[in-house]
Amino acid sequence: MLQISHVKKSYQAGHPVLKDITLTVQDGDLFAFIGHNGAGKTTLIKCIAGILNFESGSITIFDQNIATQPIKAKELIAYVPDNPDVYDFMTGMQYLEFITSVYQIPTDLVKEEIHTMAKEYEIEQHLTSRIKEYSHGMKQKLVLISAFIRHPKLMILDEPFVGLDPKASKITKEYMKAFCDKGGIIFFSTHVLDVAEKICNKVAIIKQGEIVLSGTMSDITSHASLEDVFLKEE
Amino acid sequence: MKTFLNLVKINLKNSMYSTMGNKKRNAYSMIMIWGMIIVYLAGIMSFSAYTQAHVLLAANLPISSLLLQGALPVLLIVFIGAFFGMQQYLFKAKDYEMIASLPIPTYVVCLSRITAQMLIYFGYSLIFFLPYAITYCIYSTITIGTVLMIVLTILCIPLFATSVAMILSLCIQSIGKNSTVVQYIRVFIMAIVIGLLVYLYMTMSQSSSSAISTTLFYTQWIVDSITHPLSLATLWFVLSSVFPFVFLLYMVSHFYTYLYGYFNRTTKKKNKVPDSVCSKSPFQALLKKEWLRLSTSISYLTNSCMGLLLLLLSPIFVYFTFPKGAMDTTMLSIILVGIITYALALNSPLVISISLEGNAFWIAKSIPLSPTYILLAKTVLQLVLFLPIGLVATLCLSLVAYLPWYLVCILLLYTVAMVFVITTFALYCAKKYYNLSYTSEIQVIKQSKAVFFHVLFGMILSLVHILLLIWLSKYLAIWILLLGISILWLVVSIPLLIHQVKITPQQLNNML
Repeated sequence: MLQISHVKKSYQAGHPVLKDITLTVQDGDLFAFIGHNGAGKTTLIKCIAGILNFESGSITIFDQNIATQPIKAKELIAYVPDNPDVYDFMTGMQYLEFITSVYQIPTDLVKEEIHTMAKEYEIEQHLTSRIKEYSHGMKQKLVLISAFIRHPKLMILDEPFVGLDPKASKITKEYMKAFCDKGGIIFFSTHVLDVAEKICNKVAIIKQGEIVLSGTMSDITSHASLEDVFLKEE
Repeated sequence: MKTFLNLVKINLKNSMYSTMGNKKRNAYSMIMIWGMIIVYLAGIMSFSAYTQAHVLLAANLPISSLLLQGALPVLLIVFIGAFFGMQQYLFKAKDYEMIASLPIPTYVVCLSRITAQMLIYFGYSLIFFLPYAITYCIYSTITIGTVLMIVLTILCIPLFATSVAMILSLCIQSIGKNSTVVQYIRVFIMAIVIGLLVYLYMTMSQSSSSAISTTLFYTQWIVDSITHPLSLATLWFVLSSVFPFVFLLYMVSHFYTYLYGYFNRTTKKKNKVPDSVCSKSPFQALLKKEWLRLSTSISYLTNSCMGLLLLLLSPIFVYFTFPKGAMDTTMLSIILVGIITYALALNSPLVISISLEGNAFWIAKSIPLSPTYILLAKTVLQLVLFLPIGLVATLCLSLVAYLPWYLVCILLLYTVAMVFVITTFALYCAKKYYNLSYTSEIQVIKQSKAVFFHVLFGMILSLVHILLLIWLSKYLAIWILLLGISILWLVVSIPLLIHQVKITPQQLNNML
């Protein structure tokens, strides 16, 4: 379970980016986090991933507090940023080997999985090329593969569909659904409301650092589409 | 014209601000740091010009050789900068696509980029050449023609060096930009140019200097045009500087789109299986990553290990410069101390390693490992490289200098102490003056604040040691002094290094 309680964060004194955010995400939830540009989505996601400090409140991931037990909490997380800048001096395969080594996953165990996913994402032949030769979409696919092969308990994805071709988007959605069906949690931000409405069971809308709407997708979209609800909240 | 000036301003600002770290990116800080660099370099050059003038006068050699001695560092520094860096500014700038989409002619874009960089080179030219020119004017007759020619020389040398370096670099890279052989050819050519210019500089104070310099027309034209402004040499000097620049500008502007495509085209390397980075432990994986980062970037490798290379070559210099019996053991030991300290601190992989994480820093922040391991991997790589090479170079230096065995052992201990001191300071600079949002890694590697302070520290440390040893050697034997300094630095630096390496996740997250 991911529990976010009263999280506050500001980059400049007197200008809070996150104002008392409280959210709970249960096991198996596919949670869409939506909001306009600059609403605080990426900031909250970075706080959950443990790569950004916050002033007050707490974030616990399966009872591990990200602020006080960051290493234990990060062992349970796979984070995919909005801009997948990775070590461009490595090849795709080297990057995946680096990740498996850091997470102490025997590469032989996931080798088949890597090749299956790379084949599906159509980047298998590029795995031996340097990442600096990759396009944005290829980097995104590589980072997604590196996240899925870790088999984390919680996946935090920031705009995962940006830069992906339609086929890759479809595959990613399938992987996300399969991951949650097995009890994993996915917390992701998106601007593609159709996709969020289609695949997610829960949703939260953030506006100027505050959660203005949160609940199950079926409840929120019972009378109007997610797009209409979102625009109404805006 | 307005567009051109705006582009120059943007490019110049970009280059100048890149020197700063992520913090305090304001004009005041920028002026402060560049002011310090200028004072620091001008000070060294003035001191060098003053000593060289005395050497020339004492040897009854023409004072005009001093002009050449001032021109050679400019040629060298601009050549290195343009040979390795200009291509990055021209064809790999992050704002290329944005600029290219605007309705601006390519020659304006090229000219603005080259001009912005050239302005920095003119600055270097002024700092390096002016102290020599002033010293020359003190010891010879000055006319208006001489002064005008000095100004013209300051402008012409960067034009010549940049154009030749760029044309040469483009020609070599046209063979195959990603080929390893080409990278080695580039380093080899660079080494030849450095070797030639350093050799010319070193021999300039000897009678053979004029014979050598006349074999290189360009260097002779520089001297002749200043000493005799109305000679034919002046015309050749100006033409030989301006013509390659015009040629370069025409070629680059004409083929800009093609060249951009060529340098940014993805090429697939076949039949080569990359080295595996599979590791038994996360720390080993981090260490492999650091090594891969260093070994796959020619600019990072050459710039970070230049001091080590000089240290390895220094025994040859010592062998020829200080023959046996020419100097007493104490003085020789003090000179070796200066060489070792300065060479070790010239640059290091550690000092820029945090900056080079760049936009991929999120990986280090998000992995479930103590950030201490991340810094430890960077530190260990530096120690693994510097300790053995430093010790081998010190051993060779001591042997060619015919030092007694006990001094050799103490000098080896001194090297270990210096490696630890310099590593500690490098890590301090890396943490304090990191720059994660650089536009070109060349800027971080060559002209960042961290690198500048690191080199400055090495120079001060080297000077302090030399002066302290000269003063104290009147009272105590050199071996006692060296042993004392080594033990003292080891006792101070090792706990400091451990303290520097320790970092909490919160501290790492604060690095934005």
